[in-house]
Amino acid sequence: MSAPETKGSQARPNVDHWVDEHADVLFRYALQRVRRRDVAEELVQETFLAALRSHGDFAGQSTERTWLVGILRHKIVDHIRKVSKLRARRQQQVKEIPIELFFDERGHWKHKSSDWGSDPAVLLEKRDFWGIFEKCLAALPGGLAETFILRELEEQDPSQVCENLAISDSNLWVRLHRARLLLKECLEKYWFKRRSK
Amino acid sequence: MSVLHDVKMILSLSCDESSRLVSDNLERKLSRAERMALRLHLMVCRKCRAFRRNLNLLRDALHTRTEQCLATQDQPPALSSDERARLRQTLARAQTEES
Repeated sequence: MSAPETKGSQARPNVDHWVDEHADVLFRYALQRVRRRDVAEELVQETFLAALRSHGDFAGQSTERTWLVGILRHKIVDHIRKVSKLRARRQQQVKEIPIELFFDERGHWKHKSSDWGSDPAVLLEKRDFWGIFEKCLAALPGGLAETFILRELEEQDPSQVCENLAISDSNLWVRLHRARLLLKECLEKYWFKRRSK
Repeated sequence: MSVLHDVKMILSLSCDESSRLVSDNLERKLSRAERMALRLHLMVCRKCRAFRRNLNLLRDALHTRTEQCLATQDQPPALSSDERARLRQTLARAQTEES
């Protein structure tokens, strides 16, 4: 395929069209990761502004949406890095989550585990599952939530997460272990138990 | 790590240690002794099997949610009309300034 001559038409992108087509998707994507409406709104705005400035670079290799999401993802990671740095500077330690919260002195599970089933589609169909998931995620101590979000929502490699949060490998493993245990407990308490009644 | 340490782990892995290996397994390659200890433990422990299955399920579900989020336009939550109006205004202003 030969690239059509698009210089003229690219000079002035149709921002109204951008907002109509992509703003809600970008907003939702950001909200899932930064969890505050005002921050998500700001990141979406910055994304469009950056897109306006660099519109000439949009080669049309990907779709417009993919291009915009790519910009947004950089903004989200920058935001999370900033939050994490700020916490470190304020010397707010990531709260230690003692393993005794989940296991007795012999190392056995304290609480019953429920089987969540094996089909992710079941979870996806239920809107209130994600509502509860968001609440459980929000309840995680700051450092744990950011770690889990970069790793499991942004799907970054472990090494990328370590770099972005300026933490060591072993710190990453502990944080994810605790985050997963806390999420499991919370989800079972508010979602799976309630359903099985 | 000493051989003794490995043997002890393989023979007496507890659920807290096993849950850590289940989680770590999503992050790094476990050592041979760790893999063996985990496999043995999971054979006899229903709760740890459930933990592993649930983590995998959550990972898959989150992955699919992201894909769906990017592919579909009209799904809550969406920008409020105020937020949308602000956005349009800012972009229109930026565009006039540029040209």
